Amino acid sequence: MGVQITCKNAALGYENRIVAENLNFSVSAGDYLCILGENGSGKSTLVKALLGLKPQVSGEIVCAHQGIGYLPQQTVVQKDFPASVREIVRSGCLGKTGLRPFYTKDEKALAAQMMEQLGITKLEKCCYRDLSGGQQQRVLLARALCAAKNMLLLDEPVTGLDPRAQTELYEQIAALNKNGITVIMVSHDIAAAVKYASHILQIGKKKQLFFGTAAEYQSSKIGQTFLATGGAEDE
Amino acid sequence: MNNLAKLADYFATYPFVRYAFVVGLLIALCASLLGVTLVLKRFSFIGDGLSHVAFGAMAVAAVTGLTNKMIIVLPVTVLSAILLLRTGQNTKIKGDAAVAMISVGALAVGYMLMNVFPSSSNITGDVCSTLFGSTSILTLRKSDVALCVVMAVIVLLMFLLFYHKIFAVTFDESFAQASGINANGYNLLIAVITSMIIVLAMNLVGSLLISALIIFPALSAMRLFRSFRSVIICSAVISVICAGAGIILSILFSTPVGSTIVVSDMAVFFLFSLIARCKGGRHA
Amino acid sequence: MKKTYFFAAAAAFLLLTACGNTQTVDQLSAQNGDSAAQVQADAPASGEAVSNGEYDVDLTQLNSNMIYAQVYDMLENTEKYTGQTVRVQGTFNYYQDPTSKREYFAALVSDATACCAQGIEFVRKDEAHYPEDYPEQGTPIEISGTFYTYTEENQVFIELHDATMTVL
Repeated sequence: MGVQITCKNAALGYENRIVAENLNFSVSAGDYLCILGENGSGKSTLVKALLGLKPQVSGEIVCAHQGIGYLPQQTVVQKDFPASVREIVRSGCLGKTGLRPFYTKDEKALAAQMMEQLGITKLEKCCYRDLSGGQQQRVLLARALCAAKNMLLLDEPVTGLDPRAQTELYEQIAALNKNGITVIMVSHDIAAAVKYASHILQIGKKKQLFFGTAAEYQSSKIGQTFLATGGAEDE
Repeated sequence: MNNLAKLADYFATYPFVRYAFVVGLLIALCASLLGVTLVLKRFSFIGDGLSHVAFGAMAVAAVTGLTNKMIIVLPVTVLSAILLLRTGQNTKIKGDAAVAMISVGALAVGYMLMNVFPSSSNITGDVCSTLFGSTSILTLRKSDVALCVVMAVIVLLMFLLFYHKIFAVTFDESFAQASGINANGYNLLIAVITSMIIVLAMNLVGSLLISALIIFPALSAMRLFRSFRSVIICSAVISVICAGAGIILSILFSTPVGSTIVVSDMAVFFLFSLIARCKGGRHA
Repeated sequence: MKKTYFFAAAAAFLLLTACGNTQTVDQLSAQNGDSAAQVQADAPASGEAVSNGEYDVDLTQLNSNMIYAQVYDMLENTEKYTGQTVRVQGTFNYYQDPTSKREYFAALVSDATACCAQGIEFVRKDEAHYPEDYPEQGTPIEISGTFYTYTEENQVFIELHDATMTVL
């Protein structure tokens, strides 16, 4: 089990405003890491750092940025976007095209394979804005898989989904993880995190509150507090 | 003499009618291609702001008495595009205010300059034709046509080469960035191309009506089509047809060119909205 | 008669489409233009085509957009039109330079939006004095004459020589 990400004493944020520091954790191949934390705790900054979009202020983050399949939070723009499912999934391959202005056969095949895997082949020609929330997330997940070599980074993927769609998506992600893909998920949902994740990283105001396996989290003091309050945002 | 024969005669007889068609259709094509991206990225306001900046720059160029106004207008507009994009990135509201400030400011300064240092005896005429492009499309010189063709080819090439990237950046900037696409670079490219088109389109419809040329075809296409590619193609077709029809109508019936094109764009928009509603799509 | 009419129309057509790139074409078309005008002197005015043989450039057959564009074209490409006969309708306009006392007469044509207007100056063939031999300013008039340019203070102006003026 190779280590894919190591984060040592990393501080994130801007020169004059650190949003999170003393981050220490590592992710090995096949892990399912859930990053918990309240709003403003620096989760999205951490995501950006992992993607290599925003370097850490200090400390060390070792991570192969390329090859991470990223599923960002939905934006307003996407809600009403006229694009077919196929167009969106294929755009996951763009990281590989460089300056080439078209997709190769292999890339198209990869996109088709990912759509098959997530059961959205039927929707291929549908318009993204006509899909349900759950279907939209699966489209974006397929796109992320096209870009992913062996790791997925999901930013609050179940936000705005109804409970059934949430469960389906969690199961889908868990299935992908079983197939050997490393999963890192930013989430609010502590119950689901404990249920599905293998590791948990909790960040509080400016600092790391917990890092360890899900089992350790459940038996830790902090974990129990948060589980009891249902992961409420108030500390 | 019926209108068709009259039109054919105009075509054969007057080089400026031919120029108007070549330039008008090319500008419409470029504007519509980019329009889809701008509308979807919620950048329509930048187009509007830039058109005012172009007006201001045009005024400065007129005052300094340059024969080739493009030398000033193009760089200034491109620069403002970059500036607007930069400010727009930080915070939304500040960006909006910046656009409003720059555009209204440019408008005021431009009009002021044209009045204080009149370059010709007919200020109202100059202002009016720059704002509404009354007939400037029919008064193009050969060099204008050449410049326009070159710029249109550049825009089209860029668009074809970077089509998929532009799609990705439009649909999901964060994802595009994460997959190693230089999203900011492409945003910049989009802004630069937009300003090029706006400068070109001032000849066709005048600076106040440029936004219409950019957004209407895209909005119409989005009523009916549901994939990015079909929206782009439909938008281009609508735009070219409307521009052609607008120019023909204005030549035959002596209506102002810019407004005729925009009105035909609007007509298509309402027609498409109606069709969408009749089809009962949930986005009608 | 018919044959000459065709010849004239063809010549006039050639002359308007020739974009004035080469000198020979210009000279040729200028000659053709003259002969065409003479040949057509007694022919009935067709009133159909823009250049109906009687005039090389007949602006009275065009709508306001086209007139504006055509006049602009004449201002831009003066060398192409020099020596050609032009007929135009517009509103009468008079101006006297306060220092040089030189008088200027013009027919003003506007575009469809009526915000852009171009003036075409003319010098009458017959002896005429302002104001007694001219209508009031703003009166619609028709002017026909030969296209020439003149330079004043380093600016090129266009003018119709040997013009006849009709009040409409």
